[in-house]
Order: sequence, then structure tokens, then C-alpha cells
Amino acid sequence: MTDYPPEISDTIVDFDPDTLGRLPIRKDKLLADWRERNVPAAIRVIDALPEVAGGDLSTRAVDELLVRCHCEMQRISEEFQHGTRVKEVFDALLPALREAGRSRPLRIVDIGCGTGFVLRWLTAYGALGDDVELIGVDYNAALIDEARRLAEAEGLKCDFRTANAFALDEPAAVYLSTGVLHHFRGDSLWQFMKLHVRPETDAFVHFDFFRSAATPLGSWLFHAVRMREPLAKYDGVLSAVRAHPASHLLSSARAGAEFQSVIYGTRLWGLPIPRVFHMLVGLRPDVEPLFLNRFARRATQLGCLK
Amino acid sequence: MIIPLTLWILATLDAAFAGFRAAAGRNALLDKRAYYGRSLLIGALYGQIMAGIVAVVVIAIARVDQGFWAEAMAAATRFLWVMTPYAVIVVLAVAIRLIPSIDLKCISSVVVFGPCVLIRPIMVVAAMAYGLWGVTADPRLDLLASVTVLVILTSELALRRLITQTNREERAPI
Repeated sequence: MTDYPPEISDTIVDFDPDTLGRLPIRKDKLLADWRERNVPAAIRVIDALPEVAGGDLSTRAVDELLVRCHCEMQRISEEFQHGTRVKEVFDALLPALREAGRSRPLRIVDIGCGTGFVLRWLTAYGALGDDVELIGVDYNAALIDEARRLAEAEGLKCDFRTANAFALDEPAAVYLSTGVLHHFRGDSLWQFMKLHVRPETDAFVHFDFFRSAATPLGSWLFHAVRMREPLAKYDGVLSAVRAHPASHLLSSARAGAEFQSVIYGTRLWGLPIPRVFHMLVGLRPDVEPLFLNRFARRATQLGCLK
Repeated sequence: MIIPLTLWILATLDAAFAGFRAAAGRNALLDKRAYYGRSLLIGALYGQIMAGIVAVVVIAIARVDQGFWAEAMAAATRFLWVMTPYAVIVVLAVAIRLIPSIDLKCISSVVVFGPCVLIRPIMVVAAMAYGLWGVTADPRLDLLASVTVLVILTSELALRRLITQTNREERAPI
């Protein structure tokens, strides 16, 4: 498998895995790493970030940049109807979980929620039901603060936390993510999928870029015209280019052998036209037929890989 | 009057869309109808001012040189032969987005809006070059056309600042 460089955003923040406290990043060392990789775009972005006394990257400047980038990413999500896309899955999945007699509330945890677009959208327009609880988690406190601010500004009752999604006190019935899977490289993807295997969890729905032959050009074109922040342009293109192939996602998902895993979104209307996003859906065996009863028609439109 | 009217419609639409693009990706609230409405309006108003200035200059020169008007209209007609199909495609894509289908909306973005924004500068320059090519040797028209192209191509940049100032409260507070 091709060894891609990391995304810039993955290198300008670091967290203590236990406390989730922010770890300092030395600017000179980071610049040296990127110079070694010879990626001028990344060098320019990092060079422009101010440093504080001691030579660490300014946390505030990094957070401001990440919030701006997430705002631009939300624009893409809106343009690609991502809220509606997620809702149509949950409109089939949640009734399936109810029919299967799962305990309430049906808790959906959005992993790496960033500024919380998906959960805010579902809260505002999803009408998922009173027995559904939505929790958005991210390691980055600045993104969570922004998610809370935005939710409050529009009167949305959302629960956003700076936390590890798999270490919450409340168990998740469904794990959800958007654009997170490709961040896990090598064995870490398998390990991430393995974390879903817990008694309370009935399903996972992970959206990520669909990689095809058209991805490099299409992704570059789209980010060139839509994004302003150089970081968003670079990371956005790289995200799509280094997205895991559907077959690799499926084989990793089967690490959680208790789930029936399927990729939806393999083609457009049955034609050999690639989609922008696909989703990896994993369901407990008793939930799968109940879900498919409701999702079969859309599944046909989306195309699936089992 | 059909040529000036068509130019005015295109200028208004282009400036309104430039206002939309300048505003997009800067507001993370969910309900952005008012925000985008304001941005489209600011863009359209900006277009009126710029189109108005160009119109005043053309009319002022045409008053003292009647041949100038005919030459300007000939160049504008050729300009429209290039730009009108482009504009029609964009407007049709906007219409497609009104259909409640995720797939159609995504296709309109991938196939039309993205590429059209990317090639817009090339289209404008090509249309103006085609408009002037062989129609006129009048340096006043060449200069006016060049300034107009510059105004069109910098409209989004000019509007960014304006729109950011009018939507100060919606920016991230960090």
C-alpha cells in the first residue's frame, strides 16, 4: 500500500492519550520533519503559524486555524447534503433497533465530530425521535467549544464533549463518524474497528471519501475552488487520495466479527460512475434484516459491497 | 436594447454568485438563509455599481463618438456568444439543485458548479478576447474591456472583505 505523508492537521496538534491534555509541538522540529518529507505546502502553513516562548506552536493560533478549516469543511458537507445522507441511514437504522427491542435511549456517538455539524444538523432537522441521544466527541477542546457555541447560537440541545468516544461512561448503541477512517493507517484501522466490539454497541456507520481513478483530479479541482485555507486545501486533497479502498475497509471491519459489515455507495445509479463518499455500515446480525427491510431500495441506488 | 439588457442580467447574476462564493465557508451556523440572502444581495448591488460605471463610460464616449456605440455592441454580442451558454449551464444547475435528490445535488456540484467556478476566469478572458477580436481597433474599447475583465475577476475578492464586515457577529470567536 502506498505510504502517504500525514495530513498537516495531524501534525500540528497532539494529545495525551490518557488525559487528552494538549501536548506542546515544537515548531522547529515539526518544520524539519516536513522539510525532510519535502512538502512545500505544509512547510508554508507551519511556517506561518506563530510560536510562543520556548519555541512551541501557539495553541491559540493552531486552534483558530482548525476552526476556520472546519468551517470550510462544513461548507463541503452542506454542498454534498451530508446531513440528509446521514439521516436517511438513521431513518432505517433507528426503527430497526427499536424493533429489535434494544434498550433506550438509543445513543449515537459521533467520533471526531469537530465543530459538530452532523449532530447539530440531526438535532435541527433529523427528527430522529425522543428516545435518541446524540453525543459528539473530539479530542480537540477548541473544536468542541465551537460546536457548543454554534449549537447554543441556534438553540440546539446537543451534547458535545472533549473525550475519547470509546471511554464514555454512557455506552453507545451506534458509533458514527465522517472523514475519520482514513486517519487510521496500517494496523491502527483494524484496532479502531476492534474497539466497536462491545456488548452495548449494535451498529456503526462510518462515512469517508470514496477513492477512485478520478479522485486525485476531482479532489484537487474541488478543493482548489472551494477551500481558502492552504491547510484545508492540502489536507482535503490528501484525505481523498489516501482514503482506504472499500475492500480494505471491509476486511478491517471484519475484525469486529460480531458485526455484519457492508459498504454502501459503490457507484451512482448502477452506472460505473464513482461517488464522492461511501459508508461502512456494521450491524449486529439480528438487526441487519430489520435494517435492510427499510433500506433495501436506497441500498440498490447506492450500490453495495459485501 | 437586448444586448445591454442581457449584459446587465449576466453582470447581476455573476456578481450575486460572487457574493455567495465570498460568503461560503465562513459561517458554520446551520440556518444561513439570511446570511446567504444578504451576501447575494451585496454581490448583486456591487454588480449594479460596477455595471453602472461601465455603462456611464460607454454612453459618455458614445455621445461624442457615435461609432463607438456600434463597436461596443458588436464586441458585446460576440462576448455574449461565449458567456451565455456558460451562464445557462450554471442557471440550469441551480434549477437541478431544487430537486430533492441527494445524488442530483451532488452531481450538480461535481459536474457543474466546481468546474464552472474553476474555468470562470478563463471563460471571461476568452469571451472578452473573442468579443474584441477583429471587431475594433479602438484602444478606448480595449482599455474599457480590460478594466471590465479585471473588475469581474476581482469581484469575489472585493466582496469577501465587504461580506466579512457585514457578518462580523457570525465569525468564530476564538
